[in-house]
Amino acid sequence: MNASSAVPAIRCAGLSKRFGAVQALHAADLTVAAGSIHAVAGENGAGKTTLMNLISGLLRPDAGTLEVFGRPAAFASPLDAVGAGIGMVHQHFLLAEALSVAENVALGRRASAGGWRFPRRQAEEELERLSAETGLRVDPRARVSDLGVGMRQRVEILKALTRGARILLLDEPTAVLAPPEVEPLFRTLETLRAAGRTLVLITHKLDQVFALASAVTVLRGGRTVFEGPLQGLSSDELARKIVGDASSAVAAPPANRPGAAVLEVCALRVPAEHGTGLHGASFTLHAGEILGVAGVEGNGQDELAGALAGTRRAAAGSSAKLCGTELLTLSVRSRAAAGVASIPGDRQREGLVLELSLAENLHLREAYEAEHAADLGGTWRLSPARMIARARGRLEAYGVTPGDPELPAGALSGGNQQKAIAARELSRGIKLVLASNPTRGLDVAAAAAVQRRLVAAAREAGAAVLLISSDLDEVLALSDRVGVLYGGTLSLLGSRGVSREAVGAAMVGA
Amino acid sequence: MSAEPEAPVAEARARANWVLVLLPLALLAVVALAVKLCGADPAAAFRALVRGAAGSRVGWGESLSRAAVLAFSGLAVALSFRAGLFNIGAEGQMAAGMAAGAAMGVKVLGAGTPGAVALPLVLLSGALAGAAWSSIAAALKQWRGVSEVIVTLMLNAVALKLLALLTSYDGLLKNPAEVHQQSAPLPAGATLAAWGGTSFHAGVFLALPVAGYLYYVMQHTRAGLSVRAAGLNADAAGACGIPVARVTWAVFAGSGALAGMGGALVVMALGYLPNMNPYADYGYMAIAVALVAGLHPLGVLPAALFFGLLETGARSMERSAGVPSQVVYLVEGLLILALLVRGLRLPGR
Repeated sequence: MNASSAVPAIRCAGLSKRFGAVQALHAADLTVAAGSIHAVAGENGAGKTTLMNLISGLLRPDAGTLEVFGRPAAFASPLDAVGAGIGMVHQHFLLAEALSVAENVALGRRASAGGWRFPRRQAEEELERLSAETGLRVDPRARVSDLGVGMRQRVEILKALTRGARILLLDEPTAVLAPPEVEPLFRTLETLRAAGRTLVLITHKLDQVFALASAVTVLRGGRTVFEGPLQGLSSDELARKIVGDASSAVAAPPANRPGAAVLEVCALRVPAEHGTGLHGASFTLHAGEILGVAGVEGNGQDELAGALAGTRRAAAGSSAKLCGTELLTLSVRSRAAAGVASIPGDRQREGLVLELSLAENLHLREAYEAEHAADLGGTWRLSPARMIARARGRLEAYGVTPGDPELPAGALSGGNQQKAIAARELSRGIKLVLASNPTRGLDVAAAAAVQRRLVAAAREAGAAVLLISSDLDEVLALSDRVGVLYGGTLSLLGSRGVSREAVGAAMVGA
Repeated sequence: MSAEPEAPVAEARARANWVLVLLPLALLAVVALAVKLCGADPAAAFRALVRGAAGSRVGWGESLSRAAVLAFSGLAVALSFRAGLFNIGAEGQMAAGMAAGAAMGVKVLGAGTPGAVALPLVLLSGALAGAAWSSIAAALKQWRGVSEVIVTLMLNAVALKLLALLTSYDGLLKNPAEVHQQSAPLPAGATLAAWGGTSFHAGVFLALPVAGYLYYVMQHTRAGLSVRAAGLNADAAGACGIPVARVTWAVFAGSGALAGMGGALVVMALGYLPNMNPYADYGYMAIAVALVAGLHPLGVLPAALFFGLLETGARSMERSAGVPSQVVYLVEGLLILALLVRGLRLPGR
């Protein structure tokens, strides 16, 4: 079939959108062939999410036109977009946890023959039929709160499909998934495409663009800088289009002779809250060393990081000594004073207070440390002006943009939020760095910046770095030693040069 | 780039601001209709309200002394809401402050105690009693996980009964020489004299430095940063080492102390402890004051003054124009609704 002659599923021309002083989209164009998988790539803040919000009716454009299957569309609300056959699967799911899958799918649909009685049986059967048809297997009676992330995503997709979506917009669909859940998602998307649906995939990950899509639109700074088929395009070329001239390669850290033992963890056990818990991890971390812990999420990662950071209680008999001092009995604040830095896995929940200014966020630890008291106003007083002045230089050093310390942290893109956390945690006297999925959801350039900081913390500041990540490439690229968490058990696989296959096998318990 | 996630919110805000223009007009129409239904002339009623609240020295005195009570309880609410703690108990904490202030004056202080000693002591006992009363809610929340909304609300009723009990028995605080159920008079040194035939007293001024102090603490001290961080995101605050549990205790105590000081001020101005709180429901109105103020300590002052004027005007309107003061409470209710329409966000949760 010749795609260019057919009516495109989506055609946007000259779409612009401004938020206050920020021009999020600047006359962006997008054409998506019907029945294709189309990738929209770009760095954080390139305008991808804004473009999707315009197409899904969440926002209205300041200028430009939108056509859906050849028909001009001006959506006043997401409901209009749904009526035109557009379904959006958000990165953060919009599900009612206390309700069942069938109830969630039925939520928000106009009542049919049943009047205001909810036809539960009918909804469940309908969902089962759709499940079988699309291969998206879920139990309609399961409660959403009992489902894992991958399953919840399926529910979101089914929700869109039952509303008659012919075009599905997926915002970073793999960002929240564990590696084994990615493959089934890809198969699902391929099945949906084969059945004639059009899929628009927003993603940072180039391998996914190449694995799934037939064409790509690249946004940079709110403009469309490239649009065309992927055939004949190399991964390097695409990466260059996305980041512009900035280099994107993550330099592997230079080889390293391990220093003295910094952290000695012995039989660390943490009772389970949701996942598996942690069943007795023992390892030693040396100065200047990066220990990468790979693994599918939910296999004890939160427990390991939380117990060391002090946000989770370890079971009796556990021990973790930092340069000879027992950490597990110390308060969070005392651990920080002893030299522990922590980059938590969920930056918006545990990393930053989004409504507070960047200056305040950067001082959430230092403001309470005696050695900075004089510099910040006194034993009791905390001078906003001093915090702002101190934060400004630090934001610049860590490349946080916009670097205005008076802005609320929530005004920044994800990558810049993560850089701000790094600025708070790493620009202090540190002996141990705990980093959980430090680059999750970040674009290539931001991820590289954060990774460089971690490497510098180990090699230049001589800190011991515990890198817990579900991104296998990241673990393999940065680590001096590699371990895997599986079912709450930590196994150390050895040093640099361990094979990808060996790690992969350990991750699935093979 | 930065505004992406915020954008739909910003648009909703813009729409809500438009609503905010229309709302006062709709509000006026509803009130005029209500006055009409009471068989009065809306214009005359409005004139009576304004004249009663701010048309004379007596009116201003009354309005300002009511505003002072609202300011203290409003600051109490603003502080706790800022910390993400929903203290609905300013009413009860104020009553506890009244009782303790009166007890200090009647049972402890001698007749000849000078004001410089007596006034601070009465104020301090009111603050301590308010803090103790709200700490019950803090304890139940921390140790048993009980919602502070329920506990503080329930304790309000208990505190009011306590006032009645204290003023009913001679052995407690009741004045045996008095037929009415009220306490023995506070010693002269522990009272605040009214100014020239009005209800105004020097204690009203106290609201200004207290509000200023609270503002300073919130914005310019480590303790303030702890409170704001814990209120907005307890997880992140805890992960950065801020002792969230200790902040919760301190905020409950501080909030209760502010309301209790307001209560102490009331008995100092009255000169005795009444068996019914003359400022009944001001602890609830304080929630409106705090919300109108945007939970900002300095904003509480004009908000309290506004509601103080409204209260005084309503009573005067009832007397001179024959319009029930409930009409004004209708205004207050609608005003809060209008604020909620604007999409007011509370921290926490």
